[in-house]
Amino acid sequence: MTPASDLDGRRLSLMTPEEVPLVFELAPFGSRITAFVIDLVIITMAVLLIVTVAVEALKGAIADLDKGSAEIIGAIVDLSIFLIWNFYFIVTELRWQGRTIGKRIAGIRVIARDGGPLSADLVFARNLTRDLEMLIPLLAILEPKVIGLEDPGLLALCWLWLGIIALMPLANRYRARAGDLVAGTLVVSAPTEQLLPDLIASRVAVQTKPGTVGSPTDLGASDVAAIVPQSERYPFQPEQLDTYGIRELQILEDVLRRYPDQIDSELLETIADRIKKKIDWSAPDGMAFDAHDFLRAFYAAQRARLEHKLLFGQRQERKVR
Amino acid sequence: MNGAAPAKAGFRLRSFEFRREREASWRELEDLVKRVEKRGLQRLDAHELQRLPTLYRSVLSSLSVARAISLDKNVTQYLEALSSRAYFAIYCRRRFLGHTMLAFFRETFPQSLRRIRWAFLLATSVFLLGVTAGFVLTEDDPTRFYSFVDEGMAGPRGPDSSREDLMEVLYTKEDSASALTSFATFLFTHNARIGLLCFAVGFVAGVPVLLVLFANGTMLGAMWAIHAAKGLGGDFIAWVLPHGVTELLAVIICGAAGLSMGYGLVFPGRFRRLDNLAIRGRHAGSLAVGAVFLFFVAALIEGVFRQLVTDVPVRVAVITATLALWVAYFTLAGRGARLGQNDPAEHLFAAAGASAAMGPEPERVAR
Repeated sequence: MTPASDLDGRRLSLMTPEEVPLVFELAPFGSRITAFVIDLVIITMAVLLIVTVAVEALKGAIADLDKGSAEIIGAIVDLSIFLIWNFYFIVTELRWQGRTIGKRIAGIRVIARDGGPLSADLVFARNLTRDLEMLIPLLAILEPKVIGLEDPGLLALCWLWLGIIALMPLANRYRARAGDLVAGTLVVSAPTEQLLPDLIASRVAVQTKPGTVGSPTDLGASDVAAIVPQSERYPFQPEQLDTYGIRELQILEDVLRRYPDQIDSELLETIADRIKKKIDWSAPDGMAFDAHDFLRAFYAAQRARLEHKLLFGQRQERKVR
Repeated sequence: MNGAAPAKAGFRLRSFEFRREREASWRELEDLVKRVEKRGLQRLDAHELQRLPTLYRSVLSSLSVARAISLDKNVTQYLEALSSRAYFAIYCRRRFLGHTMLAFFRETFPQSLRRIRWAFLLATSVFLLGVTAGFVLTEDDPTRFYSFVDEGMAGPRGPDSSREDLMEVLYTKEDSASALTSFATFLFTHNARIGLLCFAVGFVAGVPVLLVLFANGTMLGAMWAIHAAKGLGGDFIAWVLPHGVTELLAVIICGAAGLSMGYGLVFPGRFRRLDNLAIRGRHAGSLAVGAVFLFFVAALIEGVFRQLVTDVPVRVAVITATLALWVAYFTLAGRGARLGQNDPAEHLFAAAGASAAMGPEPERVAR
């Protein structure tokens, strides 16, 4: 039921009541499997804990030759295993709106396909099919006799069926497993992005106030003034800035943000050289050239140019060949 | 800023100024959302609660602006993530399990069953058909008993058992109720699993559901037949139905839920197939969970009550009482109430309605 949402490739866009579309990325299979394994470990630990406590209690009961209480403890164990196995996912997904503990760690969450709240019936439907998808395949692999499938023909049919269920996420555009289809839910990535300092601003902040690489709101007037000489050291002509597009700009942004932790200055030099050649830029005479400063200045100038074009309705996605 | 001197324009960039002006409110919202995600909306104080929607709208508008003017990838990604987190914090608020459960049993469960009454009637008739078939076939030739009931389930009972053996199973009185708790729990978990399975296979067009229902029916019919052959037909019914009413009802509900889902998949009507499956799947899921509760009640009756009370009239009274209770519950409960907000189809039908803007839930608008 997707009236207010729209799927385009791996991205789902969802219209909020405020008429601003929010974009969600379908969760990658790796994260989903990680989340499930973590949840499984938690369930197993809980069951083991209960059984251990019960065994301890049973020891006491057996010592007293009290058959009645032993039975009661056995009943409690049975019941708790059943409840934990069947209701762990239901309770956690209801309580935290689609974020079980495992899903939180893996950075994903369940949402309704139409963006509404995860209500009880939806969470029920999505989780009750899990036994069919997970438990029965496991049983069929380990103990064909348990589910009464000695007949090879039936067993083959069962394997076929399991194959269909297992491949279901690959076969539909929502990448949903059977339970998600039944409930009309989706698993999406739920990133918690950090707001990093603006590259244009922190260039100043780094230089004027070492150690306070903070938000640009910290910038005083003196800091802003410091930009001017910096950008004048690396002047660019408008035509030099018409070569590259948004895609290259954002790759450069990534590179600059990863320097110096993940990227060494050698790579910066290479990139700077390539850009210099491409846009036909050479350092003014007698100027000390620094690859990092150059790239910063180029980033600022390029972004200014592209954003300026954007305002006039020209969106230059890629570089000009 | 003009094209002639873009190099000097770095600090006068619109996207830069934009961020500088709005960043404080983004950080404020991020902080609030983080707390809501951890502890829930109700932990915010009155002032913060008032701020939350304002900040949320302002961040949404920042997002729109950023998409239009900013090429800073980090800023747009941050705003995307923050907006969706805030969206979920506001619209998909944490549910209180107590309230959910209460609303579920008061409204959703009986309403969902009434909604699929045709599937329910079909499931019931297939089951009864199974009972009749089992009964007639076994009566005809008692050796067929074992084709319907497997030996583990039959226990000491069989076509060759004497009247006394059968009587013993039916009327054994246990001294200690506790000895039976474990047994009841086993039955509960076992039957509830069958019920959930019945629901889960439903989305394969419902055929397996009919088979499971029919097979369960023949089992009961066959059992009944061997008792009837020894003149214990009535006693058997009085033995099996005190909990059986509830338990069979639960099995049939699960079956009906599965059937309805299968039907929805095969005949999607005016919705797209997957959407229709989703609508029906949600109802079916509720029914299956409700059925688990019925199984629990049945196991309680079976484990605690059945072996303690051996009076046929009392047993009959219990049968009548449970039957009346369930009929009343499923026909009357939740009738007056508007269909719950949990009801997805209702949102669809209310499409594009103006009403939704009033409520705390986001509207589900058809485009």
